[in-house]
Amino acid sequence: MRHRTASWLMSIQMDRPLCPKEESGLLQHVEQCARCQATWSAMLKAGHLLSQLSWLDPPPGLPERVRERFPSSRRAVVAPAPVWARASLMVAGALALLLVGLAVGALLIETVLGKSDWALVRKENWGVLVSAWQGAAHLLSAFGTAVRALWEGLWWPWLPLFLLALACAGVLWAWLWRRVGHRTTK
Amino acid sequence: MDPVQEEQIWILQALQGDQEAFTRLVSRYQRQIYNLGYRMLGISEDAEDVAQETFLRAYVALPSFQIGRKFSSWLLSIASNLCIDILRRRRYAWLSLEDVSFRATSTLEEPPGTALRHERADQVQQLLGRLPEKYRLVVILRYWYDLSYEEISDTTDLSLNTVKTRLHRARAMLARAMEKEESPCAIEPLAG
Repeated sequence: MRHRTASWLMSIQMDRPLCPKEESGLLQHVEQCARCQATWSAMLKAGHLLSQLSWLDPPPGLPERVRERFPSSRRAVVAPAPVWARASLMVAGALALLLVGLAVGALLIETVLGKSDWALVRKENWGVLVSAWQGAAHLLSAFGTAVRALWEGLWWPWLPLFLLALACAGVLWAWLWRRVGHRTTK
Repeated sequence: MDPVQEEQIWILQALQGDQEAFTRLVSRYQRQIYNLGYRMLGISEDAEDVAQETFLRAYVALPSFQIGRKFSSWLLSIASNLCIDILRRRRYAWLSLEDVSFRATSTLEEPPGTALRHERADQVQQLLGRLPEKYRLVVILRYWYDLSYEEISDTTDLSLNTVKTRLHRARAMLARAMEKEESPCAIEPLAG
């Protein structure tokens, strides 16, 4: 048995009985290993110390002081987590993901089809726009044109600004999520 | 009346705006919450602040409390989050845990008439103060509150495996610290 396993079993054993196989393995290892003997002894001692420590009495009058701070209405103290805010954040996140997915899909189609001209892709598909896949390809191609325009035509100086704006939006979104999500009231 | 039933009645009354009912809940749980704050933060004033803030947040958020869930676990989870936030702010303020544990063991910080006067109590508080907060929390919940792995998992919102791992690492760190204390060398913060 490895020292790490023995140490893990010692910790488990402090909370619940081990199964006979684990227990005999641990005992056998500890008998032969001076290092693990010392660790176990120290673990037991620390556990004993921790469980011996008594409870402290809270300062007198705590409930009354809490009561004095009760708000007149529940909305007054903690920023409430309105459903609309939570929902709108989720919708915004889903839309952002959708846009990123569409952009990636459009660029992938360009790579797979080997087409560099999105207008041509649209034109070729226009006459046979009968299946759902072709419809999706058509939409993606239109979106791809937009992505491509951004990529090629607006490369400088708009792209760095766009990325900066995206990063700022991400930070703002994370901050809002943390505020609205209010983890103390899960 | 059964304490659990009584508690549920108080919760329902508090939900209808009965502040007296909620004050009874505060009286019942003040000791648990205050002790968690004290063991986590090591300073009695901070522990009281945490207790007050916990109960206020619980009062405001009471409509979101799921009836049937353990009220004490819910309160402990609010208090745990508050304590961790305070410890993080302290860390950002460049106040080391060493300073905190020193303050915790100074005579000024000892609440009068408590077992903390005892040398061993100081030793334990100092050991706790040197544990990283995420490990300290599970140790406190396990030893003082006697919570099971599942209850700790519910309170801290961690997985069962994470709870077991943190508990194991905390114990290993404490064991190493105990071994070091038996040898006359300088006390250092415990490293994960």
